[in-house]
Amino acid sequence: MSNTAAPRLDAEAMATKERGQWEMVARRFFRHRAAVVSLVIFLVIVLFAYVGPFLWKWDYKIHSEIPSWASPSLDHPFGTDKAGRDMLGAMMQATKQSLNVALVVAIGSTVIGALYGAVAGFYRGWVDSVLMRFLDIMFVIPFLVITGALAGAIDTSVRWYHMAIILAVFGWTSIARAVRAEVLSLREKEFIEAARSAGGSDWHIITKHLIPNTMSVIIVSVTLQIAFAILSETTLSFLGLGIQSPDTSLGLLIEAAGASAFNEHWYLFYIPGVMIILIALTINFIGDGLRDAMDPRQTMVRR
Amino acid sequence: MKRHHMAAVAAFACTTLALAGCGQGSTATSSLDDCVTEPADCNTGDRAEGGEITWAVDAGWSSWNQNTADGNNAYVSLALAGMWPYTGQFDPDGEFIVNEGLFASEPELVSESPVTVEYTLKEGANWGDGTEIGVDDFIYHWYARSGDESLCAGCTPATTTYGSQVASIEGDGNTVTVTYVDSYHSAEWKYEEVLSLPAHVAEAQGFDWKNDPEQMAAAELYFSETTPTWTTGPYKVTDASMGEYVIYEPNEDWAGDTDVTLDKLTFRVIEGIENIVTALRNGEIDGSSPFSATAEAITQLETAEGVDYSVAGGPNWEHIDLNTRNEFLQDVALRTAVFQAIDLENIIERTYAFVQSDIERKNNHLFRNGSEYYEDHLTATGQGTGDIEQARGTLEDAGYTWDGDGNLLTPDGDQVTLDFRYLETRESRKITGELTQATLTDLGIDVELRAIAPDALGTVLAEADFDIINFGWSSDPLFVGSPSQYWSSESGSNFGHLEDPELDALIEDINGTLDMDEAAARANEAVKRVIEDAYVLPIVDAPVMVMVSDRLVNVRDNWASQQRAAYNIAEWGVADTE
Amino acid sequence: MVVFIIRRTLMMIPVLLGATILCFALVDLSNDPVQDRVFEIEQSTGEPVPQSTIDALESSWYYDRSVPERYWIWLTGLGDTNGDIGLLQGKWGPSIEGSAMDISYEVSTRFWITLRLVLFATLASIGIAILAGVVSAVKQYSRTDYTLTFVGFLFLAMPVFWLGSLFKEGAVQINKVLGSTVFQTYGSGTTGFRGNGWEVFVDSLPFLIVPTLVLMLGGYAAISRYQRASMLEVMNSDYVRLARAKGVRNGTVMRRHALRTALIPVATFAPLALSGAMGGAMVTERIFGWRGLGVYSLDAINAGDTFAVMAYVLISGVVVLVGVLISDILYGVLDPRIRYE
Repeated sequence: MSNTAAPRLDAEAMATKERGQWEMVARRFFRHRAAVVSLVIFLVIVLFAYVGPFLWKWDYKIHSEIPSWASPSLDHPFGTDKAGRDMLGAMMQATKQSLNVALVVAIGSTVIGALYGAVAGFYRGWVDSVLMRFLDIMFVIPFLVITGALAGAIDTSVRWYHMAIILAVFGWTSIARAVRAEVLSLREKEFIEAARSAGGSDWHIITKHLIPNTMSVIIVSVTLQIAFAILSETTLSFLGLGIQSPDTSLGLLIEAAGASAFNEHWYLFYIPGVMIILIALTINFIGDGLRDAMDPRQTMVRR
Repeated sequence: MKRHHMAAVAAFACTTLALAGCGQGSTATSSLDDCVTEPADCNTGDRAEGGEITWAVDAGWSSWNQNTADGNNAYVSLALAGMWPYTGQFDPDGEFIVNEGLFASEPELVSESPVTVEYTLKEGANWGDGTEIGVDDFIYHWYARSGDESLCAGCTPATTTYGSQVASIEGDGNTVTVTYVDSYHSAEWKYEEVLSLPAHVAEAQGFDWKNDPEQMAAAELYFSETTPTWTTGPYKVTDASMGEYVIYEPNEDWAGDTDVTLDKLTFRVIEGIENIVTALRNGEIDGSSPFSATAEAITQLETAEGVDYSVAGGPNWEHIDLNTRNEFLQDVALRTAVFQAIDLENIIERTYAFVQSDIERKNNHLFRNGSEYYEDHLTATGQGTGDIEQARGTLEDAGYTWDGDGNLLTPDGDQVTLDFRYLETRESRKITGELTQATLTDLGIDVELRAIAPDALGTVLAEADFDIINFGWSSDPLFVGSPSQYWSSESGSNFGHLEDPELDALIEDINGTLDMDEAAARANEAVKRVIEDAYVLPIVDAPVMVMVSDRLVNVRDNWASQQRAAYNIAEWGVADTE
Repeated sequence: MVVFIIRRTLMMIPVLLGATILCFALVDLSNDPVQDRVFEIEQSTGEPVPQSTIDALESSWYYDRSVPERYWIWLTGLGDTNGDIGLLQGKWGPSIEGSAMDISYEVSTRFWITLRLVLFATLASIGIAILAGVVSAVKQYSRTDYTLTFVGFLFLAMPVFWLGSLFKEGAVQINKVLGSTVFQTYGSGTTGFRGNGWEVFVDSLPFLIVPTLVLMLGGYAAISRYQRASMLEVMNSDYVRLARAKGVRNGTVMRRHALRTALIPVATFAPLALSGAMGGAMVTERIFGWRGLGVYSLDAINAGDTFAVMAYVLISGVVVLVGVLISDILYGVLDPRIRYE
């Protein structure tokens, strides 16, 4: 921007308007009861995973003092597994690593997808065609097959970050489409014209003007990506194509529990399963609440 | 062997008599629980006439031809147990029973130089289609496994140990004589497989296999893809689908003496022990002998009604290997110390003992605990005891030191770090890794755990991409060929690249005798040497389980046979409850 | 319309080519099946594998040449081949499982097994989704709406493999209570069963019900959200308001005007849901032991069987693209505002 006074005033005006807008979003969001409850539960899960290990006496490793296959009790609220592992400790570690994957995937795939979609939508023409054809290719490749094949190709233990990168690299296509559609309409707006005439570079326009204005789409997609990443990661782990020891994940815990849903080791099966459901469920409600809060048009339909 | 042969004859006598009333009134029915004390006689009982059995096989197969690399698969071997022409079977006591449907007597050694073996076919031994088994079938098998381009061009035999050693085969009436090349001196000549597929079927299909190596290869391919309708066993295939199921009915033309009672026998693929247990509890199958055992499966079976199971050391042995090309592990002192620091009792207690409570540590690489040839050279060395003090002593003597943080330093002052590799899908190996990591940390060695993807074990081994690794070898009663495969400097399966000329010489010697006892003594010398080299540390014979509906009789596990419980398939039956 | 279809079909070709190149490179570079097979054989025979066998394996799987050469030969079949490869000549290439596991035979038989599972599950899930979506929209913000929404979200959040394991165990428990084998847990039909179409179907029912239920519940939630939103939009549209204002009875408005229009998005979504269920089928087939395409691809990945993986990539790619095409055509047929030039 130039150093004249008017634009600065403009910018200030926009800033206040923006704060007002976010306030309104927050107000609308907090009116969505399910979303708020979900947010609280989700935060509790995050605390459980990241702070819990500092408070709980057992870690996720095998200890000779721990009896094998103890049912839930005060000493071991989630029981213990065969090898002598406290399942509460193991759950914290598994939840943490599953969440790590989910957060990295959500952020990574959103960054890739948003940039990709914005570039395609901004330039249009042949750039757009090439990028969109590539998107078609990614869409056609079966997701579980390609991610599984890549995870299998890692010639050492598959750690959580390997899995996160693989899922992010193949999980960004839906965001790219959404952002592109949004950018296609935005690029014709006056403020983009203004930025362009003020001499802003393409990169500047994309990152400073287009992407910030697609934030509502992006934020909703980030939340949905978390649920997507948790479910993909656990599914791949279950199929034996995901995270490997010494790392762990909720999917691996369920896989290890086997068919014990109806016998005395039921807790090994249900606890990690319920944790996955809780994460995915709360994330979906939060995403729903955010969408309602940020998309006034839809709210109008609803009210 | 002699002792056993008598036992087999006695058993036959009784089964024959059973028809005439022998065994009636003898209600001494035993269960699988007795397999610990009587591995070859547990779960015996009177059979009812008729009945059906469905048996689960824990993985599929992709070829019907067991000569080929594609068909070399324990699962197809199990599924075809009802019809395949085996020379014989080792029973759970480790003793050899010659195939009653093929041979009138055990093979005989008629000359030692060159080794010449005479086979006497049983009167009426046939392929189930009226054609008798003959010398051409022996020759066909030889060609198929020769690995010789002038006999079978472009063939992919899984093994050529037998085929490449045959010089000629001649037949005269019911006797067939196999003459080996001069260099053949295996003490295990009696157990060589000599038959596989019907030569006359190949000819009927228009393959001139005898004269044209290309046609021979084409015949092998034909047998690979074609559902076998011929049979030399107690059953005959009525329907089958590759890698999915095989359905049998009794073979009326079988030359064996055992009375077959079942009307129908089905082998059906169910992948994964969990799925097998569920299907058994749900009554979809009557039993299975999967090549694994898990504590979870046992928990399920304990509460299941009408199901019996037993767990015992199976046909594979677990071991920890060291890579002698590693910059640290090339020193035998460090290798010895690493093995001394590993606490096998603790490892076993937290892994294999969950499925087999009476499991014992394995102390000999070639012979199972309890085998007549078993010798323990391992205990005296302290390897596998977890004695950190002893390990430290070994290292101090060799000039190793520790820095202020307790890290182990080589005599040159380098810090020792190693990795430990294991197959991710094997939980026991994973835990073995974790526990090894813990004990070696006590010794000042930093160990990194690195899992191996399900399909990559072969690659990791071939590229020697490991410092310490835990994997398994098969442990059938045959031992003569094993040391050269495992430890010979030249062998492609000597994955840790041990090069010990003295050991090579000892291995060479094993092949120089036709006497089993002498060969075993020489093999034990090699075992002793490899222990001194601190190269391979045996853990256990990996436990496997057999689970059967309690209405089945004469079904029991057999580690010594590749077909496991199906080794005595002719005797299988449904209990006579009257 | 015909021109449109032809153009779209032609446009599939570069997309499929790109997808196969990418997959081929990634899958092939990450595997060495020859070494793994050699080790497997060694482990089971207890003897070293002859070099002649190793060479023969390499040449029969085309592992004696580079990755780009292998892709080219897979695609075209031109050059020095064993006559079993070349997609353009209708040959899928050799499976490392051996010549008896012919890829084209495997995928064609397995395709129908997977399709049966996926088709039943998708039809059922669409039916339930429409019902739930409409009820939710009509009773917006009622207890019913919230309950249905919650249940939908619950199934959306449930990993298919967990639900599958749970239902499978549940079926065993039900059998136990009933004292008979109503539900089978493994396979897609009685071993070796032969019969006409109807008999096969009846035979497969005990095998079909539970996995279909699992796949259905996994798929229905997404569609029902779709249906609810579109129903709401239509109900708030001017022409529905007009109809109501005219005094048309509520039920008639719903049936004649609202539902018919609101079904358009769902109808166009269905072909996509079908291809989406192909992914879910992988897990369901694994748990219930169906010998379908999904399990085939998983096994192929685990074994490093590149040509078999490629067959799956190609088939699922075609299914997805055809699904998109049908969806676009349906959109045009159902929505009179859209015309294809």
